[in-house]
Parts: sequence; C-alpha cells; structure tokens
Amino acid sequence: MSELVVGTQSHRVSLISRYRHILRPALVALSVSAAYFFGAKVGFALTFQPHPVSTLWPPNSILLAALLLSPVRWWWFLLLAVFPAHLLSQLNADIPLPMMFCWFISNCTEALIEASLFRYLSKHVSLDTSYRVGIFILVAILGSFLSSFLDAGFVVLNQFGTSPYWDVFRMRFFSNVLASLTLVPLIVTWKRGGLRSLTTAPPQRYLEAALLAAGLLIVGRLSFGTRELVENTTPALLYLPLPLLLWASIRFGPRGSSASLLVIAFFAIWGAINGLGPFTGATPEQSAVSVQSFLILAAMMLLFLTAVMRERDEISQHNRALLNAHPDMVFLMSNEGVYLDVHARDCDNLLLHPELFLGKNVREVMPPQLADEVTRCLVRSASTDEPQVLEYSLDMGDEERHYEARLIGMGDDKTLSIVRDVTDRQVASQALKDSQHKLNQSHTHVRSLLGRLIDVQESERRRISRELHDDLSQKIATLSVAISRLKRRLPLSDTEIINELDDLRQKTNSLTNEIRRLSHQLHPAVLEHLGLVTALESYIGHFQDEEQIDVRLTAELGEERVPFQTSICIYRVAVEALRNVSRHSGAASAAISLRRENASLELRVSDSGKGFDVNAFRKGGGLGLVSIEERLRLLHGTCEIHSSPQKGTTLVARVPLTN
Amino acid sequence: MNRIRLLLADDHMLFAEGLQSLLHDEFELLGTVGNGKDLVEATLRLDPEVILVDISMPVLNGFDAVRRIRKDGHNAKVIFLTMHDDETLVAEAFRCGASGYVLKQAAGEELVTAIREVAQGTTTSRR
Repeated sequence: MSELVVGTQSHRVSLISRYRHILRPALVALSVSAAYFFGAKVGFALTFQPHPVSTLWPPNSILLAALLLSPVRWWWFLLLAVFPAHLLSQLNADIPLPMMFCWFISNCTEALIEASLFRYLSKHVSLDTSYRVGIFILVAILGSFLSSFLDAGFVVLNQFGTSPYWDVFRMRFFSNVLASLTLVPLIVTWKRGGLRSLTTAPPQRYLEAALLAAGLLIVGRLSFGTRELVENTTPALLYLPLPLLLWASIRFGPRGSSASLLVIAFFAIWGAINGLGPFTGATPEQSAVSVQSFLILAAMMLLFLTAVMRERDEISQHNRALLNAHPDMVFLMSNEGVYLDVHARDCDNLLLHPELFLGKNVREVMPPQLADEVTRCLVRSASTDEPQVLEYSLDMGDEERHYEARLIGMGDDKTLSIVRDVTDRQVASQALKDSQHKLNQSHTHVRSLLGRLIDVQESERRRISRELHDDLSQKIATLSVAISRLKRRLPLSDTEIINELDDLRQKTNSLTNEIRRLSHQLHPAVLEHLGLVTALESYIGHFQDEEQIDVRLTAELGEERVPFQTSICIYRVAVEALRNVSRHSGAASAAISLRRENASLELRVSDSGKGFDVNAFRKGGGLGLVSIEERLRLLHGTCEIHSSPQKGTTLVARVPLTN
Repeated sequence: MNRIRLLLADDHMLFAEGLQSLLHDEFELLGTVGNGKDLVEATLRLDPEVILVDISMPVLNGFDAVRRIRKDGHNAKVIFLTMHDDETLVAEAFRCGASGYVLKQAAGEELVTAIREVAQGTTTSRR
C-alpha cells in the first residue's frame, strides 16, 4: 500500500520536473497578465476625465518589472501573454480596436526600451546602489520620453479624444515616469527576497510596520484627502508624509520605502482627482502635472536616499566584520594624544577598561616614557602617510607583554593606532634564536670532535704502524736471523733439514713483507724520515703505476723543515685529492705543486678532467672533501676548490707555517 | 786472520741480541748502541771498520747519525740494516755515504757476506 503511494508521488514529482521549463514561464505569464489587467483597471480609475491618459498608468511598469525579473528568452512569451489582458482591460472602456492595438505597441515599446537599456547598463537587476538607482531613473525617463512620441502619435492618428499632440505627449510622459519610479522598485525589491523576509521577521518588526502603515494612512488622508486643511496650510501639508517616508527608508530599506511611497502616491492622486488636498489646480491637467511632479521628485529622492543608506550600511557592516576578524586592538586618538575610541575583541587584553581611559590623554594612561614615544609618533604621523611603528612592553599585572603599534594619520587631526600583541611571536623568535645558538654550538662541537677524531686516528695509525714495523716485523726478522744461524751450524750434508729451514725462513720473510705493507698503508714512514716531498714522490710513484695517470710534481719548499703535523696534513690532503682525480675526473694527467708563500704552505692539485659543480657537490656532502676541510681547519688552514663542468678541477689548500 | 771490527746500532734489543750471536761467530763486535747519538760517540771512541746502523732510531735517526759521523771526518764503512725497503730511503742511504743496505729479514743469509764485501771496499745492497 505504502509502496504504491510512494510510487505515485515520485511519478508526480518526475512529471513536474519534466514540464518545469514550460510550467514556470506559463505561471509567470499568467500572473503578469493578471497584474497587467488589474493595473490597467487602476490606471483607468486614476484618470482625469475626459482626457485619454491616466495620471499613473501601472500596466507598462508591471510589464517592465516582469521583463527585468525574467530571462530574456521569455520576453516574447510574456509580451504575447499580456496582449489578451490588454484587450480585455480596454474592451468596455469605449476604445476603438485600432487604438487598443496601437497602445499595446507603445506600451510594449516602452517596457522593452527600459528593460533592455537597464540590463545593458547595470548587468545585475537590483536597486541597492546609488549607481543603479541613477541608471534606473535615467532609463525610466528616456524610455517614457521615447515611447510617448509613439503613443501621442497613435492617439492623434486614431483621432481618439480631443487633446492636441503635445498635451497627450506630456500627460503620458509624466504618467509613465511616475509609474516606473514607484511601481518597478516595489515589484523588483519585493520579488528579490522581500516576501521571504516577512516570515522570518521578529514580532516587533511587524508592530513597527503596522505603526508605519497606520501613520501613512492617517497622514495620507490628512494631507491629500481633506478640503478643510487646505485653505490654511497648503505648502506645509506637502511635507507631512516626509518623516514617515524617511522612517520607512531608514528602518525598512528599499522595500519599505517603495511600499510607503506607493501609498502616498495613491492618496495624492486620488485626492487630486477628487479635488482634495494641495494639488487642486485650475484645470485637471494642471492638477495632474503638479501631483505627478511632486511624486516623481519624491520617488527619485527616496530611491537615492535608500540606496545611499544601504551602501553606507554595507560599508559599516564590512568595517565591523573586518574589525571583528582582527586580533589587533584598534585605538582612535586625537593627534594631541586623547583616546577617542577603542575596539578590542576582548577588553581583558587592554591595560585599562575603556571607560577608564576614553577621553583621557595618553600621558594620564601610559607610563611617562612610553607616553612620550607615543606623542612623538602622533606628531610624525600627522605629517606623513607612512605608518609609524612603535614597539614596547607593558606590565600587564601578572606578566610582561610585548606590543607592536602602527600609527596611521587619518587627517582631521586624528590618528588610528593598531596595536598587536607580539609576545608569543617574540617568545617564539627568542626560542628560535636560542635553538639556533645551541645548534651552532653543537655544530662547532661536532667539528672539533671531528678534528680530534682525525688527530686521534692519525696518531693511532702512526702508533700501530710503528708497532707493526718497528717491533713485530723486527721480531720476525730476529726469527729469520735465528733460523739462518741454526742452518749455519748444521753440516752441509744435512740437506733435508737445511731445505726445510730455508722454506721456514722464506715464510717468515713473506710474513714480514706483508706486515711492512700494512704498516706503510697505515702511515708513511718516509714522511718522518725524509720529509713531505720525498713521501709525495714515493706515493706518486705507486699511484702512477696503479692508476695509469701521469702526475707531475713541482716543489719549492726551500731548506726549512716543514713541521710534522703540517706535513702529514698536506700529505693526506694530496692523497685524497689524487684519489678524487682517479675516481671522478677521468683525466689522463694531473699536476701537484707545493710551495711556500707568505709564511704558509700551499698545495695545488689540478687535473684536466671533466670537473663538477662545486656547490652541488658540497651539498651532497662528499666525505672526502669534508675530511680534507677538517684536516686543514685543525691547522687553521683553508681549502678552495675551483671547478666547473668540462673545465677541470683545481684544489688549493693552504696551511700557515708557524714555529 | 784479523777479524773485522764492527759497531752495531739498533734500538730493537731483541733483534740486536739475535744478531750479536750471529756476528760473534765471524767478527769482532765492538759494541751495540741503541740510538744515533750514542752511535756517533761510540764511533769516535771505538773506531770501528764497519758500522751496522738502523734508520729508525730515537734521539738521532740513522741518516742523521751517519751524516754527523762523516762530518766528524770518520770514514768507517756503513751498512744500513733496516726494515724499510722504500727505494727513496735506499737512495738516501747511499747519498749519506753508506756502502751497503741490507734488509733485516735477509740479515741471517746476507749480512756476513755483505760485511766482508764492504770491508774489502765493495758497495753492496741486499734484500
């Protein structure tokens, strides 16, 4: 059972959605043509007999509002839809058929001109800015002006009535401008969200609206519907509705003001037609023109006023939102230092409650030294557009907090001071500084550790090398000597044992050789015995044999002995550099130069290989390079590497020679 | 037959002792010193025909000691007896005025011959 109901409902929904694109414009067209019909009836009612033109002719404005609020693709449809309403409304008004057609054409022309122009100039259909209101008024005047030529022409052509061309023109122009300025804003603003706001408004708004409506009815009746009052107070009566219209405009916006104006307009016209109120001229034409002029001017004024109020509201809402979104405190100060206004999200963040410092001078509020600085900033900000920045600290009871104030001159002897609490930022930046300091310290520590490690490694290598070479291998050599002595004591005929002893001796010798090679790898003994140049020559000899790279060594060291620490450092750097040449450069030859220069020893290792990007290499953290740099740093030396792709590499190491 | 008079300079006691017994059989070993400075002094005092000297020694190394001896005007024959087989060291030894260069591990086989050859005036390098 329930399934069936659901099925039916969904079927209905799908039907509605399928025909929605036809259903909606059809409904709109129906309501527009109904409104057009009743508008025409109202228009007839507001006509000064026997003239053919109404004082306020609503149908054109209803059509204009419909065109403005509908998509352009619907326009032809809407125009077609109001045609029967137009005919129907004029059927029993004793109007010939051709005249009806002609008026339909002139009415449509006006609505089309105004709707197209407004859409073209404003893009967005609304009347909430003074720019759009200006456009709308211009368009309404221009559209009525142009279409009235047509309208008056039709009337004369059809010989309808007795009025001359320009009288008809004038009547129709005023009537249609008035209708556009009063009815279109009403329809547009109420259609655009006005009806929805009715359901959400609080009860007191209804009460206020009811009071306003009552006021309008009373004032409308008094000003425009009495004969008695007119005699004595004619000009003053015109101003009676003004406070109510302002009330409507300020408190109820565009919707309230357009509705109120319409009420006043009906009272004024109705009064004028019936010879009541202030607009009772000598002839009906005069009465009509004066009531129309009054209403047109009132409508223009009210439209502009409402739009300007709205714009101002928007700006102040915008500003308030900006201020609320801001974590900063904002002070408005006179340039003499008096606090005029304050904004703070939380008053607890202020030194004093606003009541205790507003209206007072900064010298009465702040510590003297800070007050002096603020005063100086105020003086400066008065003479420049640049913001003055002031940083200070305040004792806020339980803790000291830091602030950054920006003072901007606003002209008119006032300055805006925007104050930001930067305590957290300062704490963070101090913490960052501290941790950076610690990082630097540990970096230095690591480097010195690395230096000591190199030092310890070097001396340990030297010790082990010596141990191996000077002790262990000599002990084995002693064994070898002992074996030889043993052999000598044996008779020559004892060949078998002699051969075995020879074999044993050779084994001990090869053991010695291995130990010696190991020792040499650990530490070049030549360096100690014959110095740096000989040690390098020796190393280069082996290097050339093993790597097939031709190395040229030039040395100008003079007689003076190079300290051992410097020798071993330069030796190790040269060895590492040559290893890099064989590993990375692909060069067939390299050159090493050693020379004394300005009390320092300079080693230069260059190759003609493929080179590399030094910075990229450093970032990559090549361990060889680090060890070179650390060794040199230990002796207060420096290291430069010049290299670029395809241009070869030159390493220059310098170590100061101190005694 | 006059036995050749030797002076041995080596800081490695164990090796020196091992060698002493070998040398005693063939030569007259005047003494054994443990460093270069003592060698210079002992050479002047004992006037050996052949000096056996190690390169690595405390206080004064073998090269410097031999240079000092030559500078003092003593012309004893010198044989370097060492663990080092580096060519640059061998060359340096002869530059200092050595007549022979024998590696310690070959001492048992070749030293006796080397001493004899040197004493007769032949330069020798053995390893």
